[in-house]
Amino acid sequence: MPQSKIGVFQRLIARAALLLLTAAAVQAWPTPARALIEIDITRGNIQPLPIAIPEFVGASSEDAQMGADIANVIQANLFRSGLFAPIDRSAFIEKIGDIDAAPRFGDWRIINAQALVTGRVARQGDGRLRTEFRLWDVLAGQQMAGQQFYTTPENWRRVAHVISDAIYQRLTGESGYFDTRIVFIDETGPKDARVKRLAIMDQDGANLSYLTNGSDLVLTPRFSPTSQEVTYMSYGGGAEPRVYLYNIETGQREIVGDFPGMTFAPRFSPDGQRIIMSLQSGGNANIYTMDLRSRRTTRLTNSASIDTAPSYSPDGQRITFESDRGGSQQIYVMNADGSNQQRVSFGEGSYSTPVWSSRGDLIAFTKRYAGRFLIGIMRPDGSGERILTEGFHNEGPTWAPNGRVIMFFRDVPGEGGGPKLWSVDLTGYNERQIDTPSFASDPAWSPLIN
Amino acid sequence: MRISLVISALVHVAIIGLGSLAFPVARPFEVEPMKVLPVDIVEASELTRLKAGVKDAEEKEAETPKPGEAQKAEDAEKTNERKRMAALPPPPPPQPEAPKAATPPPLAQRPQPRAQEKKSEPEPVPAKAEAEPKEMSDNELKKEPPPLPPVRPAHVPRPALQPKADKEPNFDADRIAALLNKIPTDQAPAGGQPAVPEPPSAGDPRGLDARMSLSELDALRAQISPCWSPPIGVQGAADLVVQLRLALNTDGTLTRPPEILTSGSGLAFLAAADSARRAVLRCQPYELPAEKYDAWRDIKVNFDPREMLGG
Repeated sequence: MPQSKIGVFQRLIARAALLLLTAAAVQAWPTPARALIEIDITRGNIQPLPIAIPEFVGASSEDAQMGADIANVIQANLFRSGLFAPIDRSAFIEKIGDIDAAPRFGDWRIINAQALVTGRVARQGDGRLRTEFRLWDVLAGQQMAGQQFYTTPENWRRVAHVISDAIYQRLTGESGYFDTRIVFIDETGPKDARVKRLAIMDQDGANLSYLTNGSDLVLTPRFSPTSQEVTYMSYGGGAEPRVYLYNIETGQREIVGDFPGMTFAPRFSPDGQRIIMSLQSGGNANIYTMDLRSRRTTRLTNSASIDTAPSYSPDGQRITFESDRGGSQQIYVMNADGSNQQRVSFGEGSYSTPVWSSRGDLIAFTKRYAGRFLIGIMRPDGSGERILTEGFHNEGPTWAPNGRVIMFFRDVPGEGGGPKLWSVDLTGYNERQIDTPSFASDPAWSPLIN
Repeated sequence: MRISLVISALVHVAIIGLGSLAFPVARPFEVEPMKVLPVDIVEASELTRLKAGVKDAEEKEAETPKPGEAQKAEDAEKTNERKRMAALPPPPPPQPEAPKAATPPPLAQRPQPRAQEKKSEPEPVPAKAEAEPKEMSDNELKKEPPPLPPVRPAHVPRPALQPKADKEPNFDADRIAALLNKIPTDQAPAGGQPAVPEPPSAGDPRGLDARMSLSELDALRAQISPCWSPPIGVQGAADLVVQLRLALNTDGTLTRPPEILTSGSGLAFLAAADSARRAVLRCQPYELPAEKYDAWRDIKVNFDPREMLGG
């Protein structure tokens, strides 16, 4: 009896042990994880985005005409950016009639459109123009953006630019630069007796007008980042050039600062409150700022060399400038109070006209090397130098407000040659000439007008 | 002796018991094995060896390889069949659905969005007051209302179609063909049925044949890359890595819109995520080995522009 009891007991224990063992074994066995395949795509294929921009619809023929004009301006803007490939309208299958209904995405996929812009123009009872647009993601079949604007009909081009900016911003992730203007020096007449006038136009070349009559020589205009003001250098009838401040809307101009020698290379601070420039005395030039409200001037550099072409970083904390204190022209960076001056350009050749990007990450410059003039960019510490364009003479880079595009002027040698404005993308692609009625130099890009 | 036996047994039980309790804690080895795969060159050759083995030794491959083979044949037939099916019948199903959804709902729903928009419009007008001399003012239109209804029908039919094609009556015909072709009677159905929906139960369920070889992964990469045009000009573009999760049908099309796994915010991230999504939507259907559907039915794709920017 006790024996069998023990036998039962032993068997129980054995069974329990076995159970535990199997339990342990099951637990210890690696459970196959649901391993998802994971792949890395590290190479893409940078292509302009195919976008379809049908004419905006309008109830009356007048509205429809304006709708077509607006769509054309948008299309031209996006095309010029190099990041979009507008699709020829003759390929469109669906005719957009009502922008409140979703388009037939299949029809747009067939013609390989990846984005679609539909819009409507309607004149309101009070004479104003209402413009609406919707941006569609054709592949996902969703609306990506939709806005409407009210304005006077004469302002239709600006509406088109604002819509272009909205589309650009949504699709590229960067703010746009289409609703902007450009001041530049318009040059006419023979090469040895050029008439130079201060001119202004929309970023696409429309609405050109002249701000000065050409009696005085004008050079290096720069836009205020905050107001409709321009600063530039002009002889203004005197023997020595001076820095002037010009109000685009009122046409008023004034001399900046009361210095004995010549002042040049002016530029606004990011807050628009100060002007930074060079003042020559003897064979040297040093950098000064002038507060536009208190009119107080401050000297920032004090060297026996030529320090010029100062440009603020967008946060106003630092300044980049060129100096020949080391023997050749090179780019330097210093704090806004003039302290901690450091050379940042160490490549071959000489560097000049540094301009801090409006987004702060890069400095554009003109480089002279082996008898050629190049436009390039580098980081504010001097690293990552890249040449965007080169040729006989390229000079005077200016940044688009989104820090993505650089405009400059390119001179062509020869009797009939002269400077023209060009733009190039930060990536070095999409170099194009800007149409101007005559020769043009020294472009300066405005901030977004809004 | 008995006592010692009992004690020994008890102690054993105790140790094993403790061990079993301790096991759950010691489980740090759940590493995603796929991470390692792309680096391991040996994998590819192993796979080729396995394939060769399958062809030679038909009789030995009792459990694992056979289903693979049967599966391959069946899948190939199935995909062919499906292609035929997909090529012909698609017109009918969309048609009944499309008119239903496309024509009436917009009409019925348009008034609503319009009404909503009109409601929203009065606001913009006063907003104009705040605008500068140029009288510009902007206001968001109602984004969702009109677009959605017609959009759906365009997408739904496709996924709906394919699953149907899978489970259609012609499945039987497949099986008969498989039975006729393969000698062992049991294996064809046994291997055939679970092959697509479930992994075979014996052995490691994620055996080598379910894995994608390096060249197959490369092929998939090569299919997505050309469609990807990331926003490389944006400031900080190199940090805009986007991970998508794709659910795929057997024919290589997406079952549903890709899921964006990376969380981020800001215009630049939005543009980067959109560019990745456009890439996978644009390049479908993907050509992938049908017999490994199990491995690629659900995949993650990392879009990383760092290399393109060259540091």
